[in-house]
Amino acid sequence: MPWYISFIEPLIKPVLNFVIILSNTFGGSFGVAIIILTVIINIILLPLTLNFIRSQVKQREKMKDIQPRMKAVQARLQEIQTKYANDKVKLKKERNKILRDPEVSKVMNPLNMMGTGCLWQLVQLPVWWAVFGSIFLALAPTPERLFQLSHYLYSSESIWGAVPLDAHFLFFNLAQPNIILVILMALTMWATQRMTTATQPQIDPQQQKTAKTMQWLMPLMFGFIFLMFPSGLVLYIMTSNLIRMIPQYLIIGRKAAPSPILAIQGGEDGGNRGKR
Amino acid sequence: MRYSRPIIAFALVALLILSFGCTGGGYLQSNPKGWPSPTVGKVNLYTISVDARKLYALDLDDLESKGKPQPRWEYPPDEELDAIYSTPVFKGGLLYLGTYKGKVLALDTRILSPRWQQDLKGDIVGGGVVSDDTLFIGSSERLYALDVLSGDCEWYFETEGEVWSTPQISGDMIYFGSLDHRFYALDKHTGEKRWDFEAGGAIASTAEVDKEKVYVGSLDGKFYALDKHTGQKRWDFEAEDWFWAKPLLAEGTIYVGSLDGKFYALDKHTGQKRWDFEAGSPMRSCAAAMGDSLIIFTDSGDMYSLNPRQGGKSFEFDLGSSILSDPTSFKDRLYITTQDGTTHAVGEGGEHHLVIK
Repeated sequence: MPWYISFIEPLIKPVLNFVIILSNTFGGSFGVAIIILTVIINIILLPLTLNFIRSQVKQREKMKDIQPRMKAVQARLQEIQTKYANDKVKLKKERNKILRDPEVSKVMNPLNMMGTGCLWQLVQLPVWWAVFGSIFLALAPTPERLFQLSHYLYSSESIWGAVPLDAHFLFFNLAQPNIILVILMALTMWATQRMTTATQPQIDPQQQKTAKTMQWLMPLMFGFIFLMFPSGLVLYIMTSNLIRMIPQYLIIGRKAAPSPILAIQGGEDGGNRGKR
Repeated sequence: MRYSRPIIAFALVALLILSFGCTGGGYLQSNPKGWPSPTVGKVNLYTISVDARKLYALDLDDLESKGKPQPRWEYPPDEELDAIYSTPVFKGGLLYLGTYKGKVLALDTRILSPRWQQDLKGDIVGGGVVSDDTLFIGSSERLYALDVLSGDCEWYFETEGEVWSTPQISGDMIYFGSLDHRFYALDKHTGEKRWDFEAGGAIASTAEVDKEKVYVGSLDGKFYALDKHTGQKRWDFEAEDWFWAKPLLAEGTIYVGSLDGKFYALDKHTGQKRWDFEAGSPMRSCAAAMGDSLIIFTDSGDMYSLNPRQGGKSFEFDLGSSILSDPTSFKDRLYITTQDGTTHAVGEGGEHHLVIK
């Protein structure tokens, strides 16, 4: 057994055995077991998720307060962009000067947002390890993998009696990659990204452009990578995205703050475009 | 600062993927490797390398005199075989091979050309058995009876799980287990079910049959003795992990290894444990009797020679790679293929050498 598997084994074993019990309880459907496991994990992580979403809302409120100042900052940015169009060094210097304004940077610094976001993602890492490892092991698509699986199972009639698991769920074989599930996963990921970025203030057009690019780049990257993975894992991410949308919608909902840059450019209309 | 968000996002994605790589690392190898066992033919020992994906024919006389002969031929010469988990069957100059992708091949060993091939469109994990011009082999959720001369399907029997065990024939009956937790007894001529027995887990192992009973292990951790004619359970024995190895029946005792790392000797009449031997590693390979000794192989690559009466160890050595296939015997030697693609010859006194890699 590779050393890194030994390292994460204490995480994988309980989740793997639990998902097999779930599968056995729900008529041997591994797909249903994955969905229920995802719901349970998201409920456990809910306090952290809510904390993350609330910090986004708080950020948005702060942004509202300094909106007039941000408009001025935006105007100033546009002004120096025109003024120093031919002097990139000077432009950068002036731009940094504006963005270093303590009041602006306090709210606009992406690291303020990233702090909670990163923590949220990092806490999820061990959960990813455990869930992914478990789903991967449980599917056991070859005889060798079934042989390996026995090492991770607790001695229990209900667990032993449930293997090998039936990898078929609806029209999908969860042990094989599936492009339809990957597309659905990418769409849900895009939607959650869009909901999140709608609340993040972007003063700088460049920053906003990057945020927009990330909205489709991340789902695309994940989609590409997960085309090579068993679709059981894709089902987990897709369900997870869908579940996460609920608190995100309830808390942020339609009241997502307009991006200041859109507000400046498009007035009321721009504000509406910012609502996600 | 403006690039920090994408950089962090990319870093997070990379970390997630990397973390999954760590989690699944060794398990990303979903490609089946196989665990083929060697077979003795009329003049050759046929062995398949899991690494080279080739079938080799080694002259049996040369094996005795030289120990490590050059292969007479390899098949296929220019391609690779699919993964093979079964023991090829040799009969009447034909070698019957079942591949994991569901292809059954009847290879004419004299001209190195397939006499016929049949695509059964399902995984073949168990081996085949030939009786009365019929080849019986499991593929996916069916047990097939194929005509040995043409490969045509005479009948098939459908179960609710994959058939990974090698069928066993006794009289007019054919016995096999399925991953649907059931053990079946069929009429070998018609494929009609005579009885079935439901275990607590999947049955992946091959059974042993004697005059009265059928002996088979299950992934529920139990080893069963069933009445050969009715399927009634006579006794069962419980281990601490699955039974996947084929049992060996000798002198009133059932010898079988379990994935709990123990090798058991059970009374064939009562199921009472006579002794057990702690090998410390799971066993999927069948034990083999050689002279006065019992030879067992483990997943960690160890081979042990045991006293069949008390279970005492005479010697042990490490073959260097995991062993999941079954051994085959010829004269005073055993031949076994390890998971690194090597075939070893083992003598009764512990002498062993590499036959081919």
